[in-house]
Amino acid sequence: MAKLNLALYWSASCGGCDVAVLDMNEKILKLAEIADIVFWPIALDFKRHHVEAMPDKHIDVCLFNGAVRTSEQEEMAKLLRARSKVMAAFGSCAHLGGIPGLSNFSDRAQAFERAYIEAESCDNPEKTLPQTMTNVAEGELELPEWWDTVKALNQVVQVEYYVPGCPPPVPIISELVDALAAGKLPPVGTVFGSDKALCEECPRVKDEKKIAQIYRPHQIIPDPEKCLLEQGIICMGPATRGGCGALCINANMPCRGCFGPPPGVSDQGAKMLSALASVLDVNDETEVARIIGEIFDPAGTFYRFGLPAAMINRKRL
Amino acid sequence: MLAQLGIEEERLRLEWVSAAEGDRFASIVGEMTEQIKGLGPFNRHNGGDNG
Repeated sequence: MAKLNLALYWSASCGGCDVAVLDMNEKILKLAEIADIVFWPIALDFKRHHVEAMPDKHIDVCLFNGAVRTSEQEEMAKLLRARSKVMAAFGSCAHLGGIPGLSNFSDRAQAFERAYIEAESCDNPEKTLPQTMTNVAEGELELPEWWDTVKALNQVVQVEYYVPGCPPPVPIISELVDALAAGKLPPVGTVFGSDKALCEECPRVKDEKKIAQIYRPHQIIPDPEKCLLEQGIICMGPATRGGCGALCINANMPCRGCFGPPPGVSDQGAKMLSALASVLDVNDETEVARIIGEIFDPAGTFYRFGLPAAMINRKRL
Repeated sequence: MLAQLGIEEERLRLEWVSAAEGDRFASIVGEMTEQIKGLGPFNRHNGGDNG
């Protein structure tokens, strides 16, 4: 079989997805056996003009990580889409908007205010903010335009596959590499991982869920054998796709929902709210309001990795 | 959670009404309708001038 042309790109992301590819260890040799890497800015010296020079559909598979929030990221997403036969959203940010998607609780002006003026580590007495165009002695400088809204990759271009996770765990990446090696890709639209909720693969003992108090993970030391939700810690397991191997759970930390909703669930946060409402051990409405009122940053908790993909995808401006 | 998303809390109301309380049901629906009319249409804004 001829070698595949593989591209990896990052946009609004932290770099963790690219590191996750390297975390495959010796399996990366298999990747090198089946594919020529034709674009991977974090690891190899490729520039945008190299991609522009390629004919359309030259890239067999593009693994695109990061959300889309600037004009440049949208241009790159569209360019790579045109040059690629298969586009895969790699990691939570490309899949659902991810952590950068939490920026949808504000807009550009608020985000700039926080990052460039208010931030404790920022020294900016002249209150300089990034500008799209700046005139300097040497000429005009251009920066990409920042948008008010962070988008998931499939809100900008057509996407064939989704590799979930923050970052995608190695077994999930291996599944993709094996599918590529065998030339047997699953049906278009497939999200790699399990097709069941995380609770199905969680090793903890689940008894009757009845909670009268909600705790944040640092407030108690949870029993390592017992369901975290039963202990009052918000664990996103009931509203999250499995397949990660319950990594956080095994470290005695709750699931934060990075795999997104399981199949059949369109809104992860709404699903989690519904799951939580059904396990509260109270009948009195004021008690319910008290317990729910104790949840710190509810929208940020229930939509931590998926606000841009949610039914209400941003704060109303 | 709605407040965090910039949605007025007056747009949501939860009431328990029994099947025998027809009048109460009608008056709650009437009140809610008036309240929402007062608030005007829900303009869903997918970002400001710059997307």
